[in-house]
Amino acid sequence: MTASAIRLTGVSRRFGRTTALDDVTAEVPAGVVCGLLGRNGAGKTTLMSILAGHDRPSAGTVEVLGSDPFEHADVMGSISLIRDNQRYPEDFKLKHVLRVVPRFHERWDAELAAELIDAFRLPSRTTVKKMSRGQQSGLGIVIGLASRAPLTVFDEPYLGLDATARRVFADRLLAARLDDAAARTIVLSTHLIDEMEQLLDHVVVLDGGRLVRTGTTEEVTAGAHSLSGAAAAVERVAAGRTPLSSHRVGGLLSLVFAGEAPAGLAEEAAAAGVQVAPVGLQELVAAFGAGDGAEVRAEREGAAA
Amino acid sequence: MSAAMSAPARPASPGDVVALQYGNAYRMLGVPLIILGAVVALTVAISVIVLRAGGDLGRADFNASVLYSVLGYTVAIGVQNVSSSFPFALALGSTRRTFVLGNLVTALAQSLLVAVLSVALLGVEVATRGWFIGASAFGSVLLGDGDPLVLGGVVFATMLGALSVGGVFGACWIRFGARGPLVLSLGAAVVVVLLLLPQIVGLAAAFRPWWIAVGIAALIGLATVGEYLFLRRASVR
Repeated sequence: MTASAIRLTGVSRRFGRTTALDDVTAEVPAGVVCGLLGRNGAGKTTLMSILAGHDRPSAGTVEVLGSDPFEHADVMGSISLIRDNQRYPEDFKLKHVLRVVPRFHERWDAELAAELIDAFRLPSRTTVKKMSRGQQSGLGIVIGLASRAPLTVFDEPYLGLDATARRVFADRLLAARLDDAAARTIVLSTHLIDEMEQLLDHVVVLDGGRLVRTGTTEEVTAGAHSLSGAAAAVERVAAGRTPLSSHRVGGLLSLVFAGEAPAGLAEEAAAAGVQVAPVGLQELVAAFGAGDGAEVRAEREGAAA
Repeated sequence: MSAAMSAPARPASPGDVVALQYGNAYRMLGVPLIILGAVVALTVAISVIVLRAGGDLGRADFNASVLYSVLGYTVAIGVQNVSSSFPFALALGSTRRTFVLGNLVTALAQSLLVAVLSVALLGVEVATRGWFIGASAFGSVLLGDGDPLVLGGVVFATMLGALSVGGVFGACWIRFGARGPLVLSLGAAVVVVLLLLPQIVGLAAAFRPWWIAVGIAALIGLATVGEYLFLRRASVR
């Protein structure tokens, strides 16, 4: 059976006059690793809070593992969300955390936890609140991965991690994805998109609280292209089209456009000495975040019309 | 990649929340034991000084330092058991309702433990005839004059009240930030000043000891309901 682990319909979240999420509709299939991407303030943490039942939307409906997660004991018991600034009991050390967490996660993998603790070199004598940024991220990864929770959410798991620790996380994440017995869905937010792209099956891209793209990683990256070359030539080839972003270095210009390259563009560009290329996920997310959102709104309204 | 949706895991129970609160046993059991031990040591030390100065320990029968000493720490535990344990409990999959129930069970267990510990120390005090010098820390008049049921009841109710009040203030902080506990304190003060103080003379005249039990029960009930109501709408930080 193929099912959606997450289904969002018109989800908005307002805090006073601030709109953190605005009419987000998206689905995430079960059993995937989903990247929640966007700039700071895009609404990623708010969305993760809603997914984990830590918060409720101001409008719209949320279904996680088949039900509204808020105060739903079965669903919340199936979710692990360790925040980037997670609060722990003030005096807790590593041993206290390891004593408590398996009580909440019946599928706790103690062997994996021990392996990760060793790999991240987590200190045993230091209270969690005095651990370094990277060590706290490492602890969050230990809890998330070893929990084997059906929905595991990581909020910026890479914060402060060194290169070795990031590789350990990527390897273990891949192993978790291949663990068919668990059939886990993993949602993670990150700014290190290039490093994570190979691990992401699915992406949800937010900007200014709005959904700008969602789908498989291939679908999303196929939905954009770039033009680059001498500025004058690029501007001539791009005439009349509004880019998502532009990046000028000296006399060179690179423009990112939403949608597939129109027919005939490749020939026209080649004749002008301009390169047409697919856009990587990181470049695309940066492009969505580069503007004031006007292009995205115009595109959405056009698509709706 | 697609897959069948994983079966739901076992939901968190109030027992899991109790295990979280007792995750660091030293904080919950060790520190209160040290505080009560320190009360005994100080009581004995002061009693020795009084005796050497030719004083009479009979006037120390109104020593209620057992309550005062552990009270502040217990309120602090009550605050901490919500302010830092609540976000962690939710991160691990507890609902708000489960957390509040678990926290209530924790408060009952902790109050019972401190009460049993106090009664046990009363037993030692009686067996040693006042710590060998006639000093009274647990058997003072204010604490039941050596009656273990009264001592246990007073300590239990006081601890439960302190944990409940700490819990509601912690929940208020989670819900409204730093201004929440301030407004709650002011609100409580206004209620006392406007509603209770004008009646104080009449109340004092009609006072019955069981009012204390009813008052503490009402306080605990209000604080627990308040804790749930604050946490019900709180965003996790």
